[in-house]
Amino acid sequence: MSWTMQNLLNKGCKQIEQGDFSQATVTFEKLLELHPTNNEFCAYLGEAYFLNQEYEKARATFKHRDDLVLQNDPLTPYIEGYRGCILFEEQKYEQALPYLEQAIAKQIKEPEIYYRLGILYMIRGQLAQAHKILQQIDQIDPAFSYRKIKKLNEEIWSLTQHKA
Amino acid sequence: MLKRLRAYLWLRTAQYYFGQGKTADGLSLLRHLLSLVPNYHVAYFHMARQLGQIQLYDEAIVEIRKALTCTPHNSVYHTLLGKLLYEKGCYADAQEVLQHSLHIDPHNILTYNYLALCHLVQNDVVSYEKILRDKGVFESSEVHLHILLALERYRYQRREKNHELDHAKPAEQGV
Repeated sequence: MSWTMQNLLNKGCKQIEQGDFSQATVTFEKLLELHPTNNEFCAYLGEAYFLNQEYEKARATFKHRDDLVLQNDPLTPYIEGYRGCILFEEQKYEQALPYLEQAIAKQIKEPEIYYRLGILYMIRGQLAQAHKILQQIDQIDPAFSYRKIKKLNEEIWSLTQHKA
Repeated sequence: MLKRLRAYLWLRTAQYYFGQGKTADGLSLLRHLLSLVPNYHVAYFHMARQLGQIQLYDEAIVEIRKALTCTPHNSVYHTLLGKLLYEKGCYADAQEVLQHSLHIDPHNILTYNYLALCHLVQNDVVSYEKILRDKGVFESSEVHLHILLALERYRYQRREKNHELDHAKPAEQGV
């Protein structure tokens, strides 16, 4: 932590301790301005707004903190990707697309998400893109396509047996 | 003799370019090679493969047909032609070529896999199943990708058809 940052943080905390909430909000605003992605500073500012009875600002600051935590959480792209997979399975293809694309843009390593995006491109008639995405699965899990073929074959073959 | 040796070295250089992702350089070298040794069918084969990989199916088909003019009984070339026709979406033609290829070499699992795919995309699931059960799946990520896409396409079309039928039913009942 830099000297300026530490100094401002100490100053803000002291102002809160002394009950000078209005000044504390100014100090933490300055601190957050210098480090906009620091979720800890965001929490302090939210607290200062709350103590200063600026509830709307406090709510917005806490919401901003939630967003920051989620953005920095390494699992978030996977969760977004799985949201896309669920929408895909519900055949809400257009809604699924941005979730799947965003997840893959963040370089996740989950073949199921790549697979859904590849198939979605195929459904949309974007065959070259479908190939490009599906080819990446092999690098993550070389046995994935073999397992998938087996599963799909069983599913389709059970239909033909049912017919017979 | 020297001309052949030089052609071989150029072919290897072109293959090196392809491996490095320099497709245009490799193709240009193969074209030059073929202008000097027009019956060098392996060069046509490699050119067709590369053109197919960049989805230039018509051009690829022209090149593999040239290879087949030089050596009409090469089952590998027939299989590549069948694969290219399949990728282009000419399933009935592909099927015919692949069957001819199997007539020459009845042991090529890759050929069987593409033949099975031709059946599947034409909604003949029974023939697809029979071939795949008898012959298995060829160990190639490219084939796996084609099989997955064809299976998912079949699934999607089936689902869409069922969806249409479900929507048509109330209307019929209303009539």
